[in-house]
Amino acid sequence: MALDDHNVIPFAAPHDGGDDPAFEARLKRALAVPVPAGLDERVLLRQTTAARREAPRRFPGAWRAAAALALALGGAAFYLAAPKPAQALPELAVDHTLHHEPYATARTARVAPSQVRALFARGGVLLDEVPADVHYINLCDLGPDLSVHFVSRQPAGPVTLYYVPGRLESMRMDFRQDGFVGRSLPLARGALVMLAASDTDFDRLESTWRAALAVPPAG
Amino acid sequence: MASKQAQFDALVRATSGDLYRFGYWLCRSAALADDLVQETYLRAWRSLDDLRDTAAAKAWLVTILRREHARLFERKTPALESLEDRESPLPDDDGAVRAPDDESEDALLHRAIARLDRKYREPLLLQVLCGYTCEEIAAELGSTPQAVMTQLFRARQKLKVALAGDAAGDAHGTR
Repeated sequence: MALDDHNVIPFAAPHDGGDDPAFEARLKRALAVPVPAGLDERVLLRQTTAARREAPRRFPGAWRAAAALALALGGAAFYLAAPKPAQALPELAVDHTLHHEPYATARTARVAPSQVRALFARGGVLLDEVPADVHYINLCDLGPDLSVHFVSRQPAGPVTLYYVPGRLESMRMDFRQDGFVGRSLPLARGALVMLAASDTDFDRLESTWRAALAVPPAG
Repeated sequence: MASKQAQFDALVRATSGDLYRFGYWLCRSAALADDLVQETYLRAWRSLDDLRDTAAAKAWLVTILRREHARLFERKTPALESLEDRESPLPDDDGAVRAPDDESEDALLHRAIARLDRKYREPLLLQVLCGYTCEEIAAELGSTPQAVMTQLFRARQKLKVALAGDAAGDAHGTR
């Protein structure tokens, strides 16, 4: 009788063969191939990008009712939705750092330059040179704006940075909020915010990223 | 949304390593495994509300990954299967040969695992990498526990035979 895998091996109790501890240890070791660096970040980047694209646009319910009423009365609606007052970038950055990604500063492994460049590119920014000391990077919403959120580990401690392409900030400002020391400034065609326990590394990081950021591609 | 994202972040960080390794050995390609894992988590995100028992999250992800692999494999030519017959080290999708640094015992076993027929390789991965019982493997693969046990037994036997053959080849200088 030809054996197939759905027949029990004759004259032998069902057995999976895993009774050789030395071999099992070798097997586990061989199966434990290295996981590519930055896999988690790439997974989360892809997911957050997709989630952003798939999120439905919402209009405040009150404004929808007002527009419907105006149309029903035959009048012209003045506006369909009032723009929300712009929230200050430092506030948004501090809130995001504290409440949305508090683990971002805990990572110690560096993100590969190719991944840093790729993620900035998805945010519409070309990097001429990629600074080497990026330990975390993600695309995140800061209010209505998409930002590149990254962490640079420095001798004085981790520095959280947000580059917001297209956000026009007229002022350069140093601030303190919720235990953070921060700096917000216009940079390239966007804005950069830095947050840390101290501003020891701010000047150097500002110079580094000013050199690294290129003009975004047209279109 | 913030708590859902935080839950998903934690899920990714807790499971991506094992999921990647399972995908790697399923595809026998690092690049394809990377893509497969990303697609898996994307689908998992969209269905996260369906996950009721967080203790079963890893098994849930494995099921999604296997389905994604089946979907991807249908699009891709089955050239990877020919790797079983190859003597040279396992190449990646881009053609770069990932030769082991030396012919260590682990490298020989690595090659032998890659050459296992999928019907033996997959139950072994589910058991050793993912910690499934025979009953759980049977449920995942649509088989019976007895058949799974036979496949596991044969998988191990084939690996031991392959290692013995490699060792004999080394001893006789045929490699």
